[in-house]
Amino acid sequence: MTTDKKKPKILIVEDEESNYELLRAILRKMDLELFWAQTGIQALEYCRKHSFGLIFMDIKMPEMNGYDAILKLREMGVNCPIIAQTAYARIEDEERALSLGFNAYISKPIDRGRLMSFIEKYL
Amino acid sequence: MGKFINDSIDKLLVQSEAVLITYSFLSGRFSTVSSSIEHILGYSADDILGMAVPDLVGLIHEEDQAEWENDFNALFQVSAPNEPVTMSFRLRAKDGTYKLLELRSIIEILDGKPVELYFLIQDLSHFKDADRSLKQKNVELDRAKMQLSRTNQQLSSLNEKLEKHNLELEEIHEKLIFSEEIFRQVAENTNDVFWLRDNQNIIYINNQFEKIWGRKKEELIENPYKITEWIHPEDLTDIEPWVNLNSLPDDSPYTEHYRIVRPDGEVRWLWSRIFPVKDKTGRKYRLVGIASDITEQKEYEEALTIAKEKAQESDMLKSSFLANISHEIRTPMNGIIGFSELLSREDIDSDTRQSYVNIMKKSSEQLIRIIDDIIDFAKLEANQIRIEKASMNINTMLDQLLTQYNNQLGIMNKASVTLLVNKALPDVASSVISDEQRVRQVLMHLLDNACKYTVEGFIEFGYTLSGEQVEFFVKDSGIGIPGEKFDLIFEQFRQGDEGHTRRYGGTGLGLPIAKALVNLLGGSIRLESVPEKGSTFYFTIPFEAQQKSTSGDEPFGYDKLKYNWKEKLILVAEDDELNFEYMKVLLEPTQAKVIRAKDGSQAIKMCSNLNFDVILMDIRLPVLNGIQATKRLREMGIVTPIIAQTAYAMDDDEKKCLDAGCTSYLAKPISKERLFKIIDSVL
Repeated sequence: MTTDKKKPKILIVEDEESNYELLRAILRKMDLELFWAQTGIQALEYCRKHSFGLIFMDIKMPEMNGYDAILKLREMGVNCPIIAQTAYARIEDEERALSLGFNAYISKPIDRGRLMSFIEKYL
Repeated sequence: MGKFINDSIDKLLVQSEAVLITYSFLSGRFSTVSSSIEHILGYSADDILGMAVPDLVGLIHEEDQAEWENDFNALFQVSAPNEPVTMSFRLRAKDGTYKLLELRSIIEILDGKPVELYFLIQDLSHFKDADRSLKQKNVELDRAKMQLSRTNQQLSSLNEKLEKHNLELEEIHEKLIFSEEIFRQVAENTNDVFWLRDNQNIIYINNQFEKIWGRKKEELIENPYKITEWIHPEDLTDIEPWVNLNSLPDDSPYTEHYRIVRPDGEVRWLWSRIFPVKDKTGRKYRLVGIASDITEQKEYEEALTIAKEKAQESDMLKSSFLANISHEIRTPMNGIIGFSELLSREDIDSDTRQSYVNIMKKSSEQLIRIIDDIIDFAKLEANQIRIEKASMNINTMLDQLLTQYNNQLGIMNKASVTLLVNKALPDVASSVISDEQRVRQVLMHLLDNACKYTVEGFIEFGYTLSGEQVEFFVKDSGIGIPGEKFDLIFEQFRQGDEGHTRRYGGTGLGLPIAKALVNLLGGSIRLESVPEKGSTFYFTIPFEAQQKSTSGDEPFGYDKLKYNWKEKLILVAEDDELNFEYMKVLLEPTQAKVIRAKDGSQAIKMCSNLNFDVILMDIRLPVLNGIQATKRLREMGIVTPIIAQTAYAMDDDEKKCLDAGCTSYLAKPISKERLFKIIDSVL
């Protein structure tokens, strides 16, 4: 095993526990350090303390939604890839996400192949 | 010798003792005098010719002067010239005595100008006194006649003038009446206010003013500026041009919409058009105005605008509702699909497998609740939920809910929330007639909300009795709802907290469903809440104690049956066994004979063998559906009443059935009362 410092840090921002558990299960076998934030506000706090290689971000969340959160993160200078993963599955939802600075967009239910391809691409 | 006169005439005049004198207007002198003058008055012709007119007049007796003058002047005024005028007076002869003379005179007028004046004078002095006075009287009479005729002539000419004048006046009068009439008809037979004013006064205003403004015309005419007090204060600045004539922006008509306030406080909208009136020099000196009452039009416009906004809002709400529903379905689906895929992998141990299955189960339950809501909602929208009243025990139901929601709170890890139940009646007395399934459903929606929005504290539910009603309540110490959202949360597609930033999921359908169900149950729902402190939802249902019940909607009620169809034969075309049994049980007490056909073609076959009194035709039948079967039966000439029945309560279904030849139509679920009524009506 390599040291923790070499493990890529991944932040999952997701208010729905079952949905977080799914991402965790999918990524289980990969050598990653996972962090879980349940609101946009929590995501900002994590990003102040850690430098992430990749962020998965839900959109509909309490306190601060994903649209607002990514704007704040980019303002803070967080420039790692951020992937929107949301149950808002209309084309306009995807367009909105990409226009706000998300690097990619995945609608729920999540296509595992698509998710893995993004991980390969961005990690 | 006479002067400037024919000798023969002169001789004749001497013999006649008459004197002729002529006066020429051209020379301004006497032009002819007969020699007989000397014989009568002692003057020679030359004496007379040498005289000026005043000299001769001066010879007239003082007492006769005035009369003479009068007569003489008349000579010029006589309307028909060349008519002789007779006058008499005393004249001083050369010897100083006065002679009474009669003078006839005639004036010659040429081209409207007097040319020559002729006098024929006769001496009357030698007549006896009586004769003389007679003569004088005659002269006076003549004179009077003359004057009379003169006066008459004057009068008649005056009369003529007057008559002409009168005619002209009458004509003018008629014209005036006519134009006044036209003006009045135009001004008074319009729905609009019509007025005319200068910069000081109202010159005219029609009666419509009083109707529309609710004020007396006199009040306005007395003080035109009063109008500013009657116009809505917010619109007053627009009315400035009314008050000052010269402030009209330009010469074009001036248009304004404004509101007025009637004495009773009613506000009405007017549309006013004002036109300047100019005199010959082009100066604006009057204003004419028309004002129409456009209140109804305004209201209509406003209603349209509101309707449009509502439609747009409802459109927007529907699409955001769809987006939200999609989100709420996809969220648990994500867990279900995602983990089911992972389960197929071989490299997972049984504990992990079990945890995956648990998550999937939870997600599935979440999903089914959402789908149930959507279906309930759709059914309510389509009017397809029917209330089936029966005896139910409220306390028993509440106890079951208590157990269920205690479990629920446990699953939600909400041990800090205490669940309480409050029952107003003892168990044995808590039976009522209502639809238990629906009452339970309403309570569950309210309890679901209470559990969702309460983090700690309590949730209390139960009921009280108030008059003819049972009032249920669900009270919590949750986040509460601000007052302005009380109505909104009962609306379809709404939640107290909208947008992408939401703490609580859900379709937002729970409360609209609860509200619709309560309405169907015959009650009403309301809410009390304080943000951060908690909410209490109340809803009522009619309190129908079991023993009192005579409700006709009860499928198996024990009200006295009033229908007896002992001799009747009824065909029930119904493919579903259970439905047929139900129908049979319903009809049993009427003693009617009931026969079943399992599909449309069987029904046709039976009808050709047996004479039914009525056919109950299900629409969804195999082989031949109800509509086809009905058509066929009608083609065969069978006139038996056919009552269509279908579970699809769409409007056009009914039309299709009736078009096919059905006598009437019954939507499922079928209530006994309606079924009996409809059969009774066709039998």
